[in-house]
Amino acid sequence: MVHIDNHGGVGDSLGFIDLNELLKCCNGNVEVVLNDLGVTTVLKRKYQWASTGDYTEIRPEDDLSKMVRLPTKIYLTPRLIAFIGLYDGDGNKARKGGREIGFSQREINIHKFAYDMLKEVFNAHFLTKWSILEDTRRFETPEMEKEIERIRFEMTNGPKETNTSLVDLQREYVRREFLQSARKIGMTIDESQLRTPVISPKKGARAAGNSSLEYIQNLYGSEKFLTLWLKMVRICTDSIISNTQTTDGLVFFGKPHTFSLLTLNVKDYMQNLKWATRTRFGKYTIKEIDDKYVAIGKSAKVKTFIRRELKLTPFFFLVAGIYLAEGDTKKDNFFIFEKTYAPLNIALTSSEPEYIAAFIRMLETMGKQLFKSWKVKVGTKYEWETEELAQRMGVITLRAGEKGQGYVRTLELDKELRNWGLANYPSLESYSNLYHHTEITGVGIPRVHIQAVTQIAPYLVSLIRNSVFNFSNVITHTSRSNEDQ
Amino acid sequence: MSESIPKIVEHIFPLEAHENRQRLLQTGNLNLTCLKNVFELDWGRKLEQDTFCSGLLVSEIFQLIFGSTLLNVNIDSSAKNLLADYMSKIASSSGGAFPTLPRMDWQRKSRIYSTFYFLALLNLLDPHEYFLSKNKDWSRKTSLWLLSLQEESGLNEGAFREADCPMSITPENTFWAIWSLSYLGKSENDGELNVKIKKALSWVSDHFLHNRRGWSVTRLFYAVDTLHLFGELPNLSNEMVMDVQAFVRSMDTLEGYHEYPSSVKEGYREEITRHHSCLHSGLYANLLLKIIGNHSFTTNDLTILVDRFLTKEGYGTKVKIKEYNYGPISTIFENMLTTVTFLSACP
Repeated sequence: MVHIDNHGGVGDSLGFIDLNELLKCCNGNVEVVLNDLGVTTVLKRKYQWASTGDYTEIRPEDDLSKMVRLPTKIYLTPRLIAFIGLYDGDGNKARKGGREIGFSQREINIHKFAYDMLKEVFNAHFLTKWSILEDTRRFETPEMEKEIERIRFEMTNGPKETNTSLVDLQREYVRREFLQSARKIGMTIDESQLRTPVISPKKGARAAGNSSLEYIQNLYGSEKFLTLWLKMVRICTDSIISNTQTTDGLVFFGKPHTFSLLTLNVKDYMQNLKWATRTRFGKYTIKEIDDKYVAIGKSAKVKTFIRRELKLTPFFFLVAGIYLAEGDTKKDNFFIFEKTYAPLNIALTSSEPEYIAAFIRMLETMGKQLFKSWKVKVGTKYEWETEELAQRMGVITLRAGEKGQGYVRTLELDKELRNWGLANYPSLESYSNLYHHTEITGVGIPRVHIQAVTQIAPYLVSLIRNSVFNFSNVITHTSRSNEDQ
Repeated sequence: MSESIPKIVEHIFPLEAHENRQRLLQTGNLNLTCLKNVFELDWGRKLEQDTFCSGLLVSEIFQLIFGSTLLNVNIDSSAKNLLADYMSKIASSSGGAFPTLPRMDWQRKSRIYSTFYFLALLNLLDPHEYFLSKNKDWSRKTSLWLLSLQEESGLNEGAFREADCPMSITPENTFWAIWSLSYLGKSENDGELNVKIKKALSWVSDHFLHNRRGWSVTRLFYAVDTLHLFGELPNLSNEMVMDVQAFVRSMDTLEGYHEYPSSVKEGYREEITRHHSCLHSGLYANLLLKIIGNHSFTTNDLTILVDRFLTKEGYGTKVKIKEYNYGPISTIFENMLTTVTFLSACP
């Protein structure tokens, strides 16, 4: 029988990180290996620490004047586990060295969640600083030019002949836009927390009017604690993915793949779910099949088999966070699909084999044959390497279209990149027959894209959103179950 | 089939191999023995994994049979029987050949390169051209289809490209197209065909080589080999010959031959990129320098060149993107090209 601690009212914790144990196990020498976008980085830092029961004071050995005082036990609530998955995807990982703990996204609700979680974990030790990045191309439309002119007038109260530069006006536009969207969701941000926005022609927008907006929040002065935080993120992620219950300084109250305190009644949950279509609201048609499955459909026709119950395990919450960061569902759509028509799609693109394996496992635990197809994607940026592959087979890379985007037309390459996918992503083995094609994209290292069946999109989008942001909605359709089977 | 290689196939690569082959095989050269083992293994693998033709590509079948023939590797007679059926299935009724048996609709498209490998394989298996004499309509349609892919005007006049792939104007496609056209058309004494081939050769020398843009070792090899096969090499200026030689030699580094100048990748990316040395680039470079100048190489030179690319599956370049391995360990083509180059080494 395990003892289950309660924590803070955001749901029961599923385990904890013991900072004292974590630091004791490595004698304060924290090392973390990060694999991110094809690059392996090893971060190392030595810490001194003093544990006084409930709290632990931690100092980097190379600068003892810096200190954080954190709870000795950091409880792994569903929200924190989801945040760890989210951070593993979108958080700063110091690939270029010396960076602060921080998080990058464009969707403001996700930022608020990250802001709350970072504040909670670090006991509000650090001031949050915000950065805004945008591409100049966004301002290259008549409508945006009018907006900029309006701001010029407001700022200078006069005609065009002023000293305010165009880029200053563009900065002011994105600054106001950010503050307004933050206010809308109840975040108060002091203007002094805002760094000067960066408006660059190289941010990534492809055409006039396109946006490449990105908000970044950083914990000011947290550089020396980044290694410790990333260690916490990695041990949690690794333990959950490998289904390990305890490791140095980390304890789950059961096996992370199967242990849960709550089980979702999927049928009830789906019956209450609705989403906006172009003309009306959609609801699931649900048909009883047996004691394990129900068949569902977005129209009268039911063809997808879903498990009647879903255990809300540490694994589920982690993958929900990873999906929120890495999934193909447009982030804004998580928050509007019930009221406004928003195309919903469930797909994951990742270069990380562990993410691909985790996503596949999640689909498998949710129902039958939810995996629709997979493909390999590779950026034009790597056209030389792709051409070298073709040359190694005595052929050339054939790319359709004026810009060469789309399916790779050389079947030799198509076949070899399928084999490459199967060799590098072992979890795809059972789905080798569902390979569709290889695609050339704009940028990005070779990676795998998994497409789930579209019928589950409203269910999964809603469930991920609710389990991360609005847990009480899920709780109403759950039953308590602390057995670990 | 294993005793003689049709001259026309030998000519795909500048191979003066027949005598060398016999002699080198008899002396039991270490690397040729190794290659022979590789081809025997390849046959085993392909027969096991792909139930032979159904999963194989015509390019791979040609490379496997060509390599095996060069090395006197025995080819299972049942495989030969299966091939005839396979080839009739991948020959498109509209002309040309599919790369393999199509799985999906978008794959049901003849390609220049697959038509080239189809014809080269046909020539290996059927030197008396039984298939072509029985399928005259296919030959005619294939010639017409290939000719429809030649650029008729503009900067790239004379070059060949796939209809649905505007970026496919390369010396390779032009080489494969005019080799196939001349192979199909040689019995018809087609004056118009000669004009078309001349235009293609002009594109190679007056556009691709002259502009000095988009050069890489492989592309230069195909460009120069095209001119060589069609007797146009003597017309290349000394200055151009020297530029080609200089470019190829500049790709020779301590760790082997690169395919592209490093500036090509660095100009496009912010991050530091690993720059590969490629087995095929080294082999093409030696063959190219041999065609274009008085460069000679021995089997010992080649042993040094290729040894670093030897794996348990054969010869192959490890292509990497950042720290990721990208693509297979070794390909049949690399093994075949290694064989061809070894057999072309000076006695």
